[in-house]
Amino acid sequence: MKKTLALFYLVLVTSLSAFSQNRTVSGSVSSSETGENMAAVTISVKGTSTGTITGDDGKYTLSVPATGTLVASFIGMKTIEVPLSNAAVYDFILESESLGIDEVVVTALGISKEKKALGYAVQDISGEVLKNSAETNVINALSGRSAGVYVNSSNGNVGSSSRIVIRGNRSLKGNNEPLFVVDGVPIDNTIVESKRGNYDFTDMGNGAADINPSDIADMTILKGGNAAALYGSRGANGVILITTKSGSKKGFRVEVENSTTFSNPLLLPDYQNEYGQGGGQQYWYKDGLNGGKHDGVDESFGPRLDYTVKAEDIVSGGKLYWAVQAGFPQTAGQILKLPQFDSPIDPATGNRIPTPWISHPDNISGFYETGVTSITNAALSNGGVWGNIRLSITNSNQKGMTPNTDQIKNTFNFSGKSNITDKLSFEAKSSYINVHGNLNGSGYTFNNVGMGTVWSARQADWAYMKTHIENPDGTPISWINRFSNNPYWTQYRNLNPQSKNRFIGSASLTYQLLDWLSVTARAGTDYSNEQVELIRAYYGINDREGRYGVTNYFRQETNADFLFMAKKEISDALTISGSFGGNIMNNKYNSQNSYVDKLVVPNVYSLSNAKETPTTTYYKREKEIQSLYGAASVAYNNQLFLDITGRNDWSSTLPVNNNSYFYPSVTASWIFSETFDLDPNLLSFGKIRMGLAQVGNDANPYLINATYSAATPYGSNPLYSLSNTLPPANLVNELITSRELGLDLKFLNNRLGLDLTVYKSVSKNQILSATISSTAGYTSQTINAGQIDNNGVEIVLTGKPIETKDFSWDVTVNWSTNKSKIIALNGDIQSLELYKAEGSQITVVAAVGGAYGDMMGKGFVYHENGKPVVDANGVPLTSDVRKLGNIMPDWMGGINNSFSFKGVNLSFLIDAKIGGDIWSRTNADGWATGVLKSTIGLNAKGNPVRDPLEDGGGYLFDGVFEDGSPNTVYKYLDDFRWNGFAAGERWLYDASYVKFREISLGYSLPLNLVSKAKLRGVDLSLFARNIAILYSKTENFDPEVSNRNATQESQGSEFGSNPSARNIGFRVKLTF
Amino acid sequence: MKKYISKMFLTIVLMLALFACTDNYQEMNTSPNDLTQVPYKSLVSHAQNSILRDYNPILGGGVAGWARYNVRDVYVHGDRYSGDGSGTNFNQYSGHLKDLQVAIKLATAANDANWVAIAKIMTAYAFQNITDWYGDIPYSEALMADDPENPNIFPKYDSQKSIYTDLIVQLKAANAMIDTNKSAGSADIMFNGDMMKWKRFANSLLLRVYMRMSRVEPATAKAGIEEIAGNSSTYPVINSVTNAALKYWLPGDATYRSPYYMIPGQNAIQETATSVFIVNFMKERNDMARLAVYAEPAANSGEYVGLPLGTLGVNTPDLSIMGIKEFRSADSPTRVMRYSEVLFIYAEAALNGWNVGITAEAAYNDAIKASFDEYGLEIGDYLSYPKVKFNGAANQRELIGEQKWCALYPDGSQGWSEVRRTGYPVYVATEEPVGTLFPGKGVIKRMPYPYAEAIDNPESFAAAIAAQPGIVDEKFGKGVWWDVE
Repeated sequence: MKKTLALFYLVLVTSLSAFSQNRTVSGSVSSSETGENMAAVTISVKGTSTGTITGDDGKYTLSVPATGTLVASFIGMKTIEVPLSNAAVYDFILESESLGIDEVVVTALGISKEKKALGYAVQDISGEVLKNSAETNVINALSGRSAGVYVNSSNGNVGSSSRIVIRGNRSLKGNNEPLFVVDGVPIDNTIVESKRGNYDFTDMGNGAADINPSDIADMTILKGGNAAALYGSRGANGVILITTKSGSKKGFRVEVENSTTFSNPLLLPDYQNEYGQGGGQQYWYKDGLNGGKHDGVDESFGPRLDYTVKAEDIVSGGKLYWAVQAGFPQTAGQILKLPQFDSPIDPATGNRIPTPWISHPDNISGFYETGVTSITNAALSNGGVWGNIRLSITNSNQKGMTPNTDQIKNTFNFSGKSNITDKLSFEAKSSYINVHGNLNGSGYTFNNVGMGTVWSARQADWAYMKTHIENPDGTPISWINRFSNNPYWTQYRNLNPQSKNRFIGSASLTYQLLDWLSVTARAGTDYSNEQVELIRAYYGINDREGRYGVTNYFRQETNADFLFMAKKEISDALTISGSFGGNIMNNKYNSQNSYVDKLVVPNVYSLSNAKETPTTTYYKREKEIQSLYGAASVAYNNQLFLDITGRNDWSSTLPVNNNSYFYPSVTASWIFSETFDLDPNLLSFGKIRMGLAQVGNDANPYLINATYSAATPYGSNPLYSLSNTLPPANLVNELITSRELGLDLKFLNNRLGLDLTVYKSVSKNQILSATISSTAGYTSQTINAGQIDNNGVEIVLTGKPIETKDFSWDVTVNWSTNKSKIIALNGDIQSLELYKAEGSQITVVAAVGGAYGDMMGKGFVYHENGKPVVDANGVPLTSDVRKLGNIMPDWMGGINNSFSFKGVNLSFLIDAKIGGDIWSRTNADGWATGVLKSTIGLNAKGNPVRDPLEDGGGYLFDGVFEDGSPNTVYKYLDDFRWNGFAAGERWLYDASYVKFREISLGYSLPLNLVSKAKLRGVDLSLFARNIAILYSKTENFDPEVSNRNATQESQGSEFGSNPSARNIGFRVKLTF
Repeated sequence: MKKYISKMFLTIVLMLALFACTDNYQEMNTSPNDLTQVPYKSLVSHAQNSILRDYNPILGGGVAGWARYNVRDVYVHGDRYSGDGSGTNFNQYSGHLKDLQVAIKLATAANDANWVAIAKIMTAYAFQNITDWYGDIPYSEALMADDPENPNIFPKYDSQKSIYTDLIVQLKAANAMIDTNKSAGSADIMFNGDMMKWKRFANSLLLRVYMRMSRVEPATAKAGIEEIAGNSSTYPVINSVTNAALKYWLPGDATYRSPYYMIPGQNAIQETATSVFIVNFMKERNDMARLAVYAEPAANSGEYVGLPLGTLGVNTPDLSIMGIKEFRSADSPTRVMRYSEVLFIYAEAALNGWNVGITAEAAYNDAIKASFDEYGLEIGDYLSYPKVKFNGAANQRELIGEQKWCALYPDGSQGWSEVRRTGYPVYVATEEPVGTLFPGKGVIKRMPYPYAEAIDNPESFAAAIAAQPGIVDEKFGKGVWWDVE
């Protein structure tokens, strides 16, 4: 391969030839709509790098060859080509482009193509749209925007991760997320989590969230295999191409922009406010360690809140006689008084003086603050014939909804292009990103107050805890000292600091070898160094002597590639273009974690402040892929297009004898509206397209050999154990074959459009770690597994119901569905465990004949009359493990409406995800702890369900006995709540939702007003996001929020995530 | 210019070509983080640590509660039997059992018989515990995912009877291959290489195996126990408290402290309340010396106060919690097998009329003495208390069962198994926890099988369930094979 590459270059390099300019032409460009001259229009000689742009006066001069074609182009306008004649002046009048038919999109390897020539579906999203969504994580901004694109945000914490999947999950256990490519350089989108055992978990976000939306010029989503075939393995799940902004084309320009967003919880659980802490309707506080009556119990099955004592309650045998007996006399007609954690201490006795036992309905809602995100961006740019340059500085300052959480992100973005000669250009783009802040815990951890809300007694006064965080000796003041810290103490003392430096940069040289041939060489790197600390203060529940841990992550991916591009018009009707390139990708990852379990000096966080020897672990990983690829396109008469690609990869992660694999793709499209002379008033555009593509995929590093991992040595004895993953017998590459058929139609002079895509992908030989019965000696084995098929339909409808001079209304509807089917697994394996959902009651599997993400667990046993069967004790029967649901939605869709009236733009987006299931630990735990409203109310007898059975209370499960007759056995809820019957099905919810996702109102000040202020533009906008759940079937949680973070294992269950945020904000942009 | 550009491109091309070499891929794909070969002793050391921690749970919330040793005072739903197959797993197989299997292969190849024996004994010890928890489990086809001839990831479940039969074979083989003249060295983190201790442990474990199957296979048990008792040179057993199988830890190393070490000042938040039944059992027999070792007096009253299994709402300072010195200190030993258990086995065997060279009464008395001796206590006149005295009015079989259960404190696995096997103490064997979530279904009879088995090994699992009819709600109803009381 080495020699082949070198030879190839030599041949091409030696065939360099030169040509020269010989005269000068000039002219002006104006707009057909306004009649005014237009600045910054590109004037070039077709097929060469010769070109210029018009100045502020709309005029240009350009040195041109004797023959050729002069081209005038401007984004959003139709390109005009004029053959050069003897004339010296060429004027152009540009018309605006209608509905994107002639739109140019960036495709694989950065090759720009006319959208109409493509044989596959792509979706282009402008930087403005992304920015207007006011999301700091660019993935979230895609929610509901694009057909077939599934976005999953994790929660409302600052810096939390999000996940994106295009056209369903092709890989059973691998990464299903698309490849992110920024200015031609693939970047890392790993979800980073910091965790220790089961106590601490912090979602540190995903890599793509570092991309600054203010710097994005354009984003293209390449959905299918064809679109991504040239990116190889990692493009198998689609590719998201991001082009950052370049310098302006018409001289010096300054833009200053600020957006400010306010965030509040969208949805909090429905809490009860009738019963406080304790058990058996009894409670009094002594030490919060169970020294009082149930004061070490963190459940809300205690006495009634706000209860006015009756005379009969406090005599012997009365309901509250226990309180009197415990030494807390009550007065009839007054509210019950009990010693509580915040009751004053009687100096004489040292005991707490009883205080009224009252509800605090705002204890949790009051905890969440208004989050504020302020993004300020300043950009300088300049441009001309010599090239262009842009420098942008962005400060994003995010203060979370939970106290003391924040994330500050500073981005320095540079882009420059130098036209060294008329044939040689050099381009460099780079971003330096610095992120730091203090993030919130997430998942099932005591350091996630979100989880704590489900385990927090309802009477506890959080407002008191906010102002009384700790005692003078540093010990937390909490409503319970046995299980939970004061939530504010947790927020202010137990920290999860993050600090990251990231550099993404690329440099490329392009040389126009011949008028039909150019070559580009490029090198790019994505380098990041991230430090995540874990700070746990002295006296915490799980860390009495504190704890400090620090993890350093180092990631680097370097890509070096070359690409030859050729384009030749054989005749007026026939154009042939092709490209050939090669790439070396090297990916390195190291992580080093050190921690100390116990600190000598409280609250000094350093590895040297250690009572015990610090523990350090170090992990490193490297992989490399080398590739050669090529593409050829034929365009006939501007109506028939054919594209062929091929790529061969050599991957370091596969066995040496199997490490080379080739995969091709082919697409074809036919613009039949050009072929037949159709009435554009009826059918203005019609295209049919089809594609077939294969994408190969390699493995993770180090899967081939069995390894032994070390444990802490026992004294001087080393301890080793065999890895739990059985290495594969003979690993081969994965191969995904996808087919795609599409139809693009425009009607009524492009007023109405339909874009329909039907696809099928077949993934074979997936490399995955299959969970096996641990009784076989391993918990998993690495295999090449069978086949998973994905079939889907995507529809995009566009319409312009109203279009007048001053007013227009645009509607875009997208709808998509994806069905996966497991055709075969490996050998005798009929069912593959993907992961266990939060709480372990649900196992998410892929079973032969089933779909990706089937949820298995124990459910009810149903009578033929449809009701769950209960046993003689009134307890529901629990079935064997069976299929209960599936994590993936049936379909997704979005409707975007935008209105434009004299510089005022209003748009709103509603999106829906219908189907799929989610298991709710909030409801499971909240029912057991008694904090939710679902644990109170009256039973069929009209008595409180929580009352003892002898008082007519009790909970009656709505089921039937085996003979079909209704259940009649009431259960004492205080005891019964822990019965885990049918727990898989019982807490499983339909995850469907319809959300009012986004609304924005924008206004650009009239130019005559602006120019008086010596400005070029003033843009104002108001926006809101994640505004309301219009429809859902879940209780107490937002179905969009997943557990812990946005990784695959967090899908299909939720628990204790902080609520998602409803964001409202404004933006001001000034252009100088 | 043209020349310059040519050179520039040539340089880039050459640089690319220089990198474009895949010869180093094999090396690149070899993990720098883990080893591909390790000494077999290090695998056994790892397994020993893991096994000792897995099978001797002494805190409440599981077997220790079901044996009525230690119970929880909050979150009592576990003690009320809320546990189900979502909370259990078979990770012992992929963990220490697999490591031991690999170690046995490597040690056999190295002709290191003592280490083969150690690994076999640990394997047998682990398998007996697992099958006693669950009943039928994968055994003969287990651990074969990587078997070169018959790879199998769906091991069938073997009957407990057949597993017990093989445990005997394995333990006898291990005993026979031990060379007591050679030390296994310090990599043996259990007995520091003392092969005589291994021999005694292996044969005492054999006694435990025989006795546990004695109700269902009395002839096998009789022959086996008589063979061991009658031939102490071939089958030396634990014969003093000093050569009992006790594991001492490294109190100075946070990772290898005694597994139930607790910071003394944090007692109140630990879930180690002593069960009311054992407190009262000892009080009724004036066994205050051992009670003072087993439990701490309640912080408030200074009295020994136990908590009934499943009870919520008694204040912790009013309760006794598990003894600090012997069980919760950084250097507390893990009691794997004790001298008193060997003597109790002989007492029961003698009572069955088997010839073990000692009378039931003498063995019974010696066993109780050994239990006191284990903690350096004087037995005083304990043996003459009416509820203890062997030749008193009480049922002798019940006395042995009760005293053995008492002496096994706080080893929940063995305590729970013995209670299920003997039916003694009657209260422990029959009384449902306070507020049981399964009223009327009795006491727990087995550990619920992991739900994962229904997904990852469905056919074998279904066959195992079919082969053990009578299981109710995963954990009640019919007990395991040897549980016929």
